[in-house]
Amino acid sequence: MKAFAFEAIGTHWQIDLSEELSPERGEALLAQIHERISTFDRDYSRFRADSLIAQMSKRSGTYQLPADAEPMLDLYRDLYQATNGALTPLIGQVLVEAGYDAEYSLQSSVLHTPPAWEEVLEYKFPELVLKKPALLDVGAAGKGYLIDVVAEIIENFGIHSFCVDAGGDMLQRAEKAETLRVGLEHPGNFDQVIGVATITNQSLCGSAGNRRAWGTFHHIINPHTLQSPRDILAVWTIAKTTLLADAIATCLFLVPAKSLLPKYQFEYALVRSDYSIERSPGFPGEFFVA
Amino acid sequence: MDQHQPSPDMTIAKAGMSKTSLYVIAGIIIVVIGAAVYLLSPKTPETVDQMGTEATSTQPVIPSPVPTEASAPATSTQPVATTSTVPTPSSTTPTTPTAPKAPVTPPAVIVPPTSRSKYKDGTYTAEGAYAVHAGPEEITITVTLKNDVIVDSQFQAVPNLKMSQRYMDMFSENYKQLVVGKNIADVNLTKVSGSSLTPIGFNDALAKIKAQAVVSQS
Repeated sequence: MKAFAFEAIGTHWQIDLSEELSPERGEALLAQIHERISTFDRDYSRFRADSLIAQMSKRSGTYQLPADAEPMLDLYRDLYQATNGALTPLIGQVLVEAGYDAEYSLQSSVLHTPPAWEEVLEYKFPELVLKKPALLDVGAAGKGYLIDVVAEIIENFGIHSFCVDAGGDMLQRAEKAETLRVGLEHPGNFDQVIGVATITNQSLCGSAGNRRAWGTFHHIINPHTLQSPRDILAVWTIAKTTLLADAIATCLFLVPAKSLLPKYQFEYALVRSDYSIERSPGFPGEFFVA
Repeated sequence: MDQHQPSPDMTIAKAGMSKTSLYVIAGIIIVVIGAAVYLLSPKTPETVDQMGTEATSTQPVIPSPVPTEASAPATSTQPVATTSTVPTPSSTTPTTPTAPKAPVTPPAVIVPPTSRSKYKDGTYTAEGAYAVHAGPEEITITVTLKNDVIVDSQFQAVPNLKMSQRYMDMFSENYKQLVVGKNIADVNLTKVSGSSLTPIGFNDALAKIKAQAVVSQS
């Protein structure tokens, strides 16, 4: 077995290994990965009634966080500051009001500005205090983080060249520094790409408002305007971790890249609504122009 | 088709930039583009060269409008390679158009073409030198012409002076490039990245509300 494909956390996963595994080893690795994803989903999913997130949405109190929460919540706390609250885990309720709820009703009601972090949360790992019940959403970074976690499992299994791709967010490891050529999907035409990025031992995340879109909304909502950004069609980020690439990709819909550089190390490219391209000078790739 | 004066589509940052440097750089752009345009002539074309090479011409450059060899109609059917900033494009359209090399020495005089001549599609590179108070600088401009219009222009500069980097960066940042799509089947790639592929549940929900919208409109 060399390639695994499955559905999990609401998207399609494709894992490719550089070496062939025996059926026994392949099954063992896959089982580990599935179990880990399952645990993650049970903790952090906004879409299931038995999750930790669901509990926090119903009951205030002091919660003991799972061990893996630390890097993710640390980053959320830092980015909340760096984006002046544009990136916030308290966006969960706003998404539900817009219609992106656990039932995918996609019917929007009145949207309310989410509370400030300090109003609701006190975070000091391993504890998270919910001063009031609140529906948290960690979707901006959760998938990226889970990709990193799965990659670590594969490394620990003894495989050092592989690619983990979850719905277009991906991490590549290449012992011999092979490059991975990733097409950058045309935001208006899924049969096309507007460029190709090349990564080696890096993570790449893509984000756009063209799939999870309904009415006037898509899956990213600006908590200050209570609207989904329309001036940017697609964003790609490249970073050392998929956690960071994923979180930054969402941020770039909401704040300018220069407000996050150079504090955070990443390369990026984004397509605006006029189809002009903005990119960091070091973004490894080419774009198809005019 | 009307004659177009080829001119790059640029927005130049004004804030914090010395007007003199701004005009100097803009002037050089216009001058080297004029030089590139002049080079369209019926002599034997050579392979397109992304990066400019050393000058061979020493004559002052006075462009005169010259028709292309084929005297093609406005909507030319010549295949044009759409090249990008990276020297090795991942895929190419059938043939590479040919273009003469451009000189390095900036021309003395530029006369805009006045007659309805056709410019040969292709990519042209020229280097221009200018001087700031503290010393000489050089920039490279690459323009792509298609149907008499500049469809792409690149600006590259490696500054001699540290101070110049800032102005070149400002200029570079405001250079707008528009992207277009290429069919996935035509591009050499292993993966595609865009928004996350959505679960069936979400797509079903979308289909349902769209169906409702249709019903409520009828």
